[in-house]
Amino acid sequence: MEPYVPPSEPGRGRRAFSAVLPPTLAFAVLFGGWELFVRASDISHLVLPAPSAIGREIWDEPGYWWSHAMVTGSEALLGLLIALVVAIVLAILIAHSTVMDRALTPVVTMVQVTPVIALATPLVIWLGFGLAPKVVMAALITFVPLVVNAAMGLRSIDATTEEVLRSVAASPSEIFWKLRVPQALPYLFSALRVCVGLALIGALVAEWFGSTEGLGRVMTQARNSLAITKLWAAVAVLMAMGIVATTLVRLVERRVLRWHAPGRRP
Amino acid sequence: MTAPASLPVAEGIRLSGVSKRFGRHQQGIQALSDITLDVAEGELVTLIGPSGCGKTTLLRIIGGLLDPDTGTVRVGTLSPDAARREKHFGFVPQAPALLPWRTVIDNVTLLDEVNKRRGRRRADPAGNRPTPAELLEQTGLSEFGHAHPHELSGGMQQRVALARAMALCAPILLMDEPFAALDEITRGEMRHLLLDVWASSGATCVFVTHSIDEAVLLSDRVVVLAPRPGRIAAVEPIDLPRPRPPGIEDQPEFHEHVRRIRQALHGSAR
Ligand SMILES: Nc1ncnc2c1ncn2[C@@H]1O[C@H](COP(=O)(O)OP(=O)(O)OP(=O)(O)O)[C@@H](O)[C@H]1O
Ligand SMILES: [Mg+2]
Repeated sequence: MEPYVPPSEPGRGRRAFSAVLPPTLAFAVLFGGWELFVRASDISHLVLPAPSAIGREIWDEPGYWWSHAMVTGSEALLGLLIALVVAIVLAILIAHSTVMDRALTPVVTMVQVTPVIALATPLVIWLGFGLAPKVVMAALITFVPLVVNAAMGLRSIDATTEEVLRSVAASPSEIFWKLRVPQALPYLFSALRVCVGLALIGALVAEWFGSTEGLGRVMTQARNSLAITKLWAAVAVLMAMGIVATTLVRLVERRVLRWHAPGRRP
Repeated sequence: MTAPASLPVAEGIRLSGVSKRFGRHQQGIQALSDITLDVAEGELVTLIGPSGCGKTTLLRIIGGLLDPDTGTVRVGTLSPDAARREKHFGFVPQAPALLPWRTVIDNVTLLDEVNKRRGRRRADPAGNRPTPAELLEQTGLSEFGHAHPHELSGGMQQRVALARAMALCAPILLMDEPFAALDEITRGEMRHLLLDVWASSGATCVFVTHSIDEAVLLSDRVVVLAPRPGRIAAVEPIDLPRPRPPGIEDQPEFHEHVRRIRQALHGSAR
């Protein structure tokens, strides 16, 4: 028996090139235009610093930025992981039992419509200036999309495929592991892609309301001393973190969901 | 084509007074009303009838996926539910219903993996069960064992679904319009493949179709169902030689059967 060989992809190098070139050009135009505008006009650096000045701010003190970025990053990551575990457990309950669905879905909706940011102050009052309120905030902000998507994925199984499994008396747990879980993965990943950015925002906002370290702390200090370029530098570092995290999720997703038919991803 | 060394034991199906209603009393639909039908061991029976006359419902009741309101169903000596637990059914649904994250070969072995305890009991010391490689060869999929379903054409996916049902070496094959979505040429190939599989396995087969030609070509008997409520309008025994000789579709006996079934269908629609 000949092993199946997937069709080779001609011109892979050229494809990668054409995938990288357009966004590079777009960014070059954006930042080049910004730089030129700041230099040509005599706009104050308090209003809008040049990209080169923001870059220098980070370049001059890489250790400083790295340590604060790690603080905010680990808060966000921890919050996201906690939200993921809780969301998966709740999604299984919601998808499996109508009673649980009726009981839990209103709670999820309540969290969804709560302006979570407004809870920052009570969280700091309850949990202090340390790690805890940031982690909780990151978890709260990412929890809803994760649970909603995971429950939708677990429920979205194909009725005919389920009947095929039932025709040999597969148990509910076999149907769960062989059908529901793989079916839910694409939904979970599409929520995760959105949630890595949200988790960073949650951790940052919690830091604004009381912290001793992290990029949020850097931002409030910079604001108080009118170090506007530093404020922008913090934004740039956060953006870079968001891009790296989203790309990592995408890479894992591509590995795990290689089987998925193109166009069937939610 | 490789045939299994010896045959699995076929089992007959016995339906008596089966009725099924969906929904509440007034607005409900009487999907099936008083169906009585015997399918002999090793017989190939097709169910034909207009859309909504309860063909799928009847197949699901035989397979133990749905309980009838009244009447009894026996599969050999077992209830449909017990037969299902013993893995007596090879079920081919209308859509291929493959798991997209599994390769072709893993889809074919899927039903072996579930309900393992029963699977072991059905293990055969004589080695009658076809291996996955044999199944792929028989369905012409040898080169695609490691492909994923989305890389296959619709006809190939349907062949995987057929191989998956055959993998159980089940005494009963239940097929719900398995070729309806295929083009005429592929459908012709699939019909011959099914006849080969059925003849070599000796299984009892209940086959749902919309095509009168398909019904006559395949069956020992054609059961014509009438709608609202779903009931048996006519039973047409097909006395054409087996294996069907090439060009049988052009013979007058074939046309006579087609004509009689069409008449029964029209009569029931009135
Ligand atoms: N789960 C269900 N709930 C309610 N009504 C149903 C259900 N399943 C089938 N029915 C109804 O029962 C009747 C028979 O349906 P069934 O699917 O058995 O028809 P069919 O003969 O297979 O039709 P087709 O040829 O279109 O597949 C239809 O009127 C359908 O609306
Ligand atoms: Mg049907």
